[in-house]
Amino acid sequence: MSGVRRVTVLAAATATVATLLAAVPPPSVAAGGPACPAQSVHNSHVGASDFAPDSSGTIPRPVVLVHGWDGSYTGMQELQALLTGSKALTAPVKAYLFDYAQSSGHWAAIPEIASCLADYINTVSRTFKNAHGDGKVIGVGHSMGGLALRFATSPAYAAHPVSAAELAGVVTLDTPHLGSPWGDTPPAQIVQNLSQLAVGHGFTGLIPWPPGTDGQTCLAYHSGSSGMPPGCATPTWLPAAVPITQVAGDVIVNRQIMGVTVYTSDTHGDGVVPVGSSTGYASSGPGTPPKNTKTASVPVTCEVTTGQLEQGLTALPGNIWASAISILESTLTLGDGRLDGPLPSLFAVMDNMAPCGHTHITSPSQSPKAAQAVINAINQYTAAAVGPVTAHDLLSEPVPSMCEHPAGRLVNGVLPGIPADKGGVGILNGSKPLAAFTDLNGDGVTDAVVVGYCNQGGVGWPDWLLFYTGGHRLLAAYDMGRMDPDAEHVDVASLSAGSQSVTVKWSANRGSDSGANLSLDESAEFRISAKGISNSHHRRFTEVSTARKLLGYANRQDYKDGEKYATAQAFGTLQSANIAFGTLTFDACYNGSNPGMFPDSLPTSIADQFPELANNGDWYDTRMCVFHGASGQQGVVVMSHVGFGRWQAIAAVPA
Amino acid sequence: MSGQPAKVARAVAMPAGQKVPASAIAALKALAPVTVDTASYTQNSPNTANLTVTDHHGTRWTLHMIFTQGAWAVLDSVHA
Repeated sequence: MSGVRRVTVLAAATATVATLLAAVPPPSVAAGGPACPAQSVHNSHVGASDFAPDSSGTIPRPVVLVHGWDGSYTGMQELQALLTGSKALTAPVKAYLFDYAQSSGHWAAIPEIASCLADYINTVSRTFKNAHGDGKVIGVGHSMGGLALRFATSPAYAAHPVSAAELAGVVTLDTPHLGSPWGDTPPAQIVQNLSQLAVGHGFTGLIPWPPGTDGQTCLAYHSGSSGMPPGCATPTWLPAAVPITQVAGDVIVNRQIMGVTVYTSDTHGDGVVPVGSSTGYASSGPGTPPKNTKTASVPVTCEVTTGQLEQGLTALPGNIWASAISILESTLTLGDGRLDGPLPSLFAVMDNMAPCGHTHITSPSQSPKAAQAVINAINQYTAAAVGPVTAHDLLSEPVPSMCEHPAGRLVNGVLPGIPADKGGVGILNGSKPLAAFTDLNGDGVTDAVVVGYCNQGGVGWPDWLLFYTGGHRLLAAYDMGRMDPDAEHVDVASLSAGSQSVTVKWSANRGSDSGANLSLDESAEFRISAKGISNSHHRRFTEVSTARKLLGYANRQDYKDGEKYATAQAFGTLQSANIAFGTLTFDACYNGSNPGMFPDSLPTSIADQFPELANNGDWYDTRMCVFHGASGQQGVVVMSHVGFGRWQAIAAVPA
Repeated sequence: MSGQPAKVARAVAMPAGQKVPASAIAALKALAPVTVDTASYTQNSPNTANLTVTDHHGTRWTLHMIFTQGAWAVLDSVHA
């Protein structure tokens, strides 16, 4: 149900011809229910060009948007615009509008709605599949549009019912799965009659329709198959394994006086559909639902003040809402203050006034939380349809431009087409990728981070982090050189999966390091969002903390602990220095490969004092940490890099 | 805007069983002094009326008034 505003919306809709008739091919499966008499000219056109791959080679996933009772395709246009290019989507989407405005006063089970919607989804699915997609469409239905999606999957109501193979999932927005207090009431009949006039049906709404075809009658409260008005078909279950997300608007009325909240009252509904009904799928069909149906409910709350409600009511023409004003006022003062009773006329105004009211829930600008819930569900359904990333998938993923090589797609882990003397791009660390697998984007399905390597024919450039989701889609890429802009080399040592994050450990060379000496170890937690890649908990590990510890142990004559971080000879020398110099104090550490950078105050060439290191080139893996004694005497301890973040003193000498 | 709970409760006509929270009473008291524009009084029906007031921050409000239990009470308000 769509409320009073639909009448004016429909009037505008009839004057708009923005879309083309979807070409519906002849039935390809055995006929079941009644055939679709004719499609609306306002359905979005479906064509092969809709599924052109984007720059990463991903084909858009189709989403079919279905409006509600007394509505038209225009009611879903704002949502369609949001879904076209939204950065919150983990994969691109092609959103289609299904229109049944000419029949929207009728119950969703009639062929003009259910069977035509089924044919339309069939067409979208088939076109998607022909473009090498998986054929799985996502259905998003507002209000009775959600029930239309249900009927469209039933062989009793559609000649070519939508199958589980064609449906990745369904999102319902304020769908009255268990009916509405508006249903089968005089106000609803008036609205329906007016909408019939608006779509050019004259006064046909005044003539009773055959049992089971009248929308407002069939939208009455019910509980599953019991309680349906005579002749009204009970909404059918979705096919087994098709998940459903029920988004439910819930208006909180805030009684405010001069900006001060006196109390609030939860209406437990969106002004038209109670939350119990909009989240009532599991008990709303015939019998019990298929066992493996995944059902999720997402409440979307918003506030409206009583002052706004009153203003809205009094602004309406005539005196037809006087009773609503009276009900509101007496409920707020003499009554119990609760506004969740069956007050249809008051509900209708709430619908119009509240951002998450029934009419506005499809508007991302009015109800952004509902739009986000739709996007989240689409992301989840897309991920589930595509499946997780596997180690094998990584070998043929797309890669961005790296080390000035053009973007492309890997073949067996290597980017083909790069001449041997121009270096290369790939993800193989030896014979296999260095990767971590976890759900990075919160869609419930496993994604992957893999290290990318590249060079231009010489030594390797800084590594990259490449983030992938299923379907060979590159989510994001990060040049690790950005973490250490001055480093020639940034080599990732390990990746470990966290909760929607990955912890990366890497080594880089520091200012005075030679090119091959990566003496700086670092770690950070990386994650992705719609805004891009971010990192936190960035830590840097150097020899300094170990050198400081060592001097402390030496000062305390603590052999047991000191020798954990030094050879016995090195620690013994430090202790001797401690005895000779008094308390040792740390000064600074320098690159062992470049003794020329040592302070001038050191009287002797350090290299001369460690001939064994100088001879075998081990200087490149060392750092020289200078200390001084109580009277200023200096010394040096030689620190060796023995593992990620781990240092050991291998020699020490008073200078 | 006396700040006395009983007077505030009468002035805002609370439904049965509801009390005006102390925080709301304090917030309303903080709006004093409130200037009433008596010329703005508009009776909409025998038991409803509107009245414009200005709080001490200079914000103008249209109060929706209701005549209930033998007295006028403030139902709610909107920015004037």
